[in-house]
Amino acid sequence: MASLRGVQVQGDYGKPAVSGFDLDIHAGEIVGIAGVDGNGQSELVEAIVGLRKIGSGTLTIGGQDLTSSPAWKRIDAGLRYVPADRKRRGVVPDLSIADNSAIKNYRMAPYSKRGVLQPEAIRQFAARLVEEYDIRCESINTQVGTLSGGNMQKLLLAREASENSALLVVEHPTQGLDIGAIEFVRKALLDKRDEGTAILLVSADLDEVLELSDRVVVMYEGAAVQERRHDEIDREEIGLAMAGLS
Amino acid sequence: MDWSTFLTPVFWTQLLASAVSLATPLILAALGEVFAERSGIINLGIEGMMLFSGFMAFTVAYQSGNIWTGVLLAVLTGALMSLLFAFMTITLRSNQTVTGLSLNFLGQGLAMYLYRTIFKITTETPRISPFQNIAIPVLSDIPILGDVLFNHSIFTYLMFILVPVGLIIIYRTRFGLRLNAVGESPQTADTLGVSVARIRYGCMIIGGALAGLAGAFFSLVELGAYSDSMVNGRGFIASALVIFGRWDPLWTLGGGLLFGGIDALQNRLQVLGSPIPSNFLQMTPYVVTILALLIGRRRKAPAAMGIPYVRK
Amino acid sequence: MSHEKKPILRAPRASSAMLPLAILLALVCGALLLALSGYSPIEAYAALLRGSFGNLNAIAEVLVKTTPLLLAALGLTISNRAQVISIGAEGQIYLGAMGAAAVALFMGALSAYIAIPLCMVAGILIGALWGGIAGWLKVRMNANEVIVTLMMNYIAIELVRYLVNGPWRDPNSVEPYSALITDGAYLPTLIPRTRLHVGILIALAMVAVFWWVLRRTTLGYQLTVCGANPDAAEANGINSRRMIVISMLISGGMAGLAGAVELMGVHHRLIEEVSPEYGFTAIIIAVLGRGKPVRVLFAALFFAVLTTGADGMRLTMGIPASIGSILQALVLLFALGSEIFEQRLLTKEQIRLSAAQQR
Repeated sequence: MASLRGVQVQGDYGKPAVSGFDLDIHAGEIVGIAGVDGNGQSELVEAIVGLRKIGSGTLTIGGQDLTSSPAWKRIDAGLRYVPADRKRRGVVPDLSIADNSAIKNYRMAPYSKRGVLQPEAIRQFAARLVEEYDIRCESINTQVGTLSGGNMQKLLLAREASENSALLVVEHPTQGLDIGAIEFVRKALLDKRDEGTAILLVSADLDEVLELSDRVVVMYEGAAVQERRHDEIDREEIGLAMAGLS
Repeated sequence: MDWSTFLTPVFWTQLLASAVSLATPLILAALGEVFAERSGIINLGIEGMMLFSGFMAFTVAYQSGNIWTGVLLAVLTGALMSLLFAFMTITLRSNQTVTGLSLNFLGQGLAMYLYRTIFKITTETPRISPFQNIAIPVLSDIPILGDVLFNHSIFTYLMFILVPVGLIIIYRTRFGLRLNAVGESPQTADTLGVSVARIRYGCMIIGGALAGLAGAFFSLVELGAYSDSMVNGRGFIASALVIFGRWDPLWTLGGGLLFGGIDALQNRLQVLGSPIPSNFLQMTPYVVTILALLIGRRRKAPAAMGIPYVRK
Repeated sequence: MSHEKKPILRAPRASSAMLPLAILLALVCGALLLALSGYSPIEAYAALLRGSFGNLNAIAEVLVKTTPLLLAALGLTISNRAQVISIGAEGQIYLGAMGAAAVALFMGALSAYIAIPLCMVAGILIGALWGGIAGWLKVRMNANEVIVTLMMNYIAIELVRYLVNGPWRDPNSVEPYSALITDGAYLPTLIPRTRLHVGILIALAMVAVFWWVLRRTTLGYQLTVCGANPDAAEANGINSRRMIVISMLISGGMAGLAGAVELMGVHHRLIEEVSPEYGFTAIIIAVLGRGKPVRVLFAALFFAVLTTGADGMRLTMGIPASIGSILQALVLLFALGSEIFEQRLLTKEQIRLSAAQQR
């Protein structure tokens, strides 16, 4: 579904954060990135979703070369993103659940017709998300900023996983959530994988990565240094690779 | 138009001398703003600050009979207005651009209001005897260069001194090091024990004092009086000059002299009756500023400029 | 995590108490200034109210002044949401008047049904062009839009000055203004013997139009998201560069319309001072209006009241009219200063609601 070849991404201070990165993510699989924070994971994610330029190399999604495409083209090609910083990049806290739910699909029918929004369709969509993902709120008109972390994340996941999500990139999906929400989110990711979505998982929680991923890629100093399938995983080996010793 | 005037040395001497003089308030204000922007704060209220400081300078000089008290008050006024701006943008974290613009309105409004309230305007405009040019002995006798550089008001000489002083402070002192750090990465500076707020307040006060000085130039050197339109957009040109000068005092000096030169040239062309309508000549500083902006953009602004710093 | 690189010119969800408080504080400061200047604040403010509400003519004046302020501020609301800080409204107003004048002076006698819309379109187009240039420069060359729009103001003003002093000057006069525009381009008067013209209706209509666009169109949605959380807008694929250019076209067009309306409704000829700094005042109004067209309407009315009232103060008590702009600046400064307290209140509110959700 998606491939990266020789991707190089500049970091914030002039040094490359990611170099020579190759990765394939297939439909119906979860690829997890294991690594100590600061080894290029966030820059890699930013490059994939379009928030950071890809210096060299290629990014393909669904067969399309999207290396230098703007974010909206990637979204049209099926890219979806659950960011680590929910309040800053994921949702618009001042707006309602209904308004937030439309952020990826407002340009498409039936949510808008020739540039005019169809509020009823958007409301129905939002209500569906709330129900399917058991989001606790007063109504779809509730301001998203007042939702608890868990419910906000459920909303994000619901929205990103719902329509036209060929490649779903999730960053630290269970960070700061309570047990119930963590379980829910993990199960939801597995369900999506079973439905055929390609998922890229980046998480600081190593257990989470090892548990959920079909394949684990260890990232160290901006490069992919090790790759193991789920049944081949050796925790110690992975740990060493994360520290740069392999 | 008599084109032969362009061939006379007198013309060029006068032109260049005028350029230096006209450049003085621009460079003074811009120099102050260089400090402010390097520490991360962009102040668009310079125009209003200059007008109000210029007004205060004139009023105090007029009432007290001592022109130097006018200068002092101008510097104080500028510093105080900057303090207000700093308080709003640093402590209250308000948006810098909008705050700057409202400070503009405030400065302009206060100057216009107080002038009319204090000086009941009759037919005669209140005037004082402005600063005269001081010819530096020996140096001012040098042909051409002497008149261009060494026969100016004290403000201009001060400007020539302050530019290298600014250079030294920014590039060679600990304060300069801190201030650059604060403007590039306040979080890092904070971690290293630098008080971001104190540095920014300090830089704002410097900027305000210099803007006040620049404002005083208009009323105490150029006019010997106050006029609502004496600043006439030059505060904003100073803002543009900071960017054109790539936040470096020396480039700011150069750029300021260039702008001053254009202004001087445009003045003379109008007087000489140039074929180009005066209005288009009046446009030149503004057009040049835009062009300068487009060319000058290669140097990156201090990374944290314009963003309020929040301690995590 | 990469830096938050954008200064956020966004309006927090309005906590209604703060704005009236800001107004109150500004009035108090104004009263102090008046008292120190030797005027009685009570008398002065009474003169202000009489000057703006005392009779039909006063109210008409307030509405006349509201019109261009409202039109320009509505446009700026759009550019603010796109995180663009344009201060070019003044120059765009001038050019809008110029564009409308080009039609109204040189296309011969036209019927009102043709002249008025044509002039309006001319004003909008030329204003949009002027704004669009700045937007394009920002997007393409990363030029600081604040300086660019500011400089373009002066260029525009000089251009108009050139025209009214030179080629477009009324042949029967030595004054710097153009001939009267053709009769068909006169905006009809709403209340006889006042200056109140149809322009106010156009402005009110635009309030409704903008409200609708922001609430009900995809463009409005994008602008709303951009305005509320530019980082999320970017992360979710909203093309911020497109937003910038479109919003600059719109804000320029609206300011141009304001200029055209002023020409057709008030001056009836192109003059040197097309606008008494309406463009700059509109910036303040747009900020106070916090991105909501109805609020912008009230803010524009309020500022028009202050300006008209200040004139009244000048006429009856000899108070310099600049007290009006001092009050306006103070209102804005207090409003800006109170934002941090609003944010704190809002965060507390959000935490409280969030805790209530955790059943």
